[in-house]
Amino acid sequence: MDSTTSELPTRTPLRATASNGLKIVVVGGFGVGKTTMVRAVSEIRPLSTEEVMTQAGATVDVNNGAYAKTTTTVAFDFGRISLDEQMVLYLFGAPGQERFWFLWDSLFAGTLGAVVLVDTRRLADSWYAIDRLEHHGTPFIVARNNFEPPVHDLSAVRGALDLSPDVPLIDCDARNRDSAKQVLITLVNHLYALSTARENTP
Amino acid sequence: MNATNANPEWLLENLVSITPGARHALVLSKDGLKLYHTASLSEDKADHLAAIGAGVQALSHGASMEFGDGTGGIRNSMTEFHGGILFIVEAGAGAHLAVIAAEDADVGLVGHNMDELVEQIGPFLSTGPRFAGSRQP
Repeated sequence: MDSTTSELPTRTPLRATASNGLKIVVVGGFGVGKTTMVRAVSEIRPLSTEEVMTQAGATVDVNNGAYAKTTTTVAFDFGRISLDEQMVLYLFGAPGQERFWFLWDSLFAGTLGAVVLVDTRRLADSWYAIDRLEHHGTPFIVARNNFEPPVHDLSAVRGALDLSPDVPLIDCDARNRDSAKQVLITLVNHLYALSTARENTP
Repeated sequence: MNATNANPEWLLENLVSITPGARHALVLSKDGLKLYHTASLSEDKADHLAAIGAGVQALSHGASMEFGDGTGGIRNSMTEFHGGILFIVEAGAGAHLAVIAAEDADVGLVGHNMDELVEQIGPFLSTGPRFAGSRQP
């Protein structure tokens, strides 16, 4: 498994026409690819708080399946991407391990929507993320990150996560800029659809 | 002092006892887990402080990369909050030393004593990477 991004994002300055800033969080279990995704799509140098995993964590941070993982996020990732002339997404990647969960509630403040990244080898790791988002009432989509070719179909994943039918569930490769961008576009479309539906409800 | 016989927990207790205002001391791994701490911290509090310390230092590293000389090097972090002060300095490889002190503690003295401890026994306050060849990202 190679967790480096497929291409180096260009470092573009923020456009003068940018008028809509949306705060988005990327959440999910330990080692699912959150940092990789923020790095893949960010147009600025991403703030990364990765540290080498030490021997102290050998029995705590068990990365079943994520063999090549040697570093882990200890605060949060930050990146930015412009979707069009006006819309700019500010991306915050949450840390995955339980000992950093106390940070999540502050990260979620002011968030318009979230991406839950899941790895089907460790699906249970994403339950906490989904639970917190439902608790906060934050709209979200679920993206299955395929570091390796998927073995289940998406409806099985939907069933296993007990997702409601109106939560979008898509496939992605967090290392690939276009694929990760597609995930964000899906989220923005979902947010737009939700707000339109709200406006049309008397 | 004979550093080869150094007992990290005893040295942390000593640091707290010779530093007026210091309450707790903890050595944490850079990925946010406790290594050694004073008996004043419960296991739960030590776990929490270890995660906080790693996060603060990692964000400070980000500040250094973006606004410092570009090497990402950090010396120390200090946070004054209502009811106390948190100090963190780099200890040995892969580790940080954190101290919680009272609000009115002499910050110069706390910092000095922490630096002195790291100078004396820094190499013992460390933890190696889990996987050979792991490199700083």
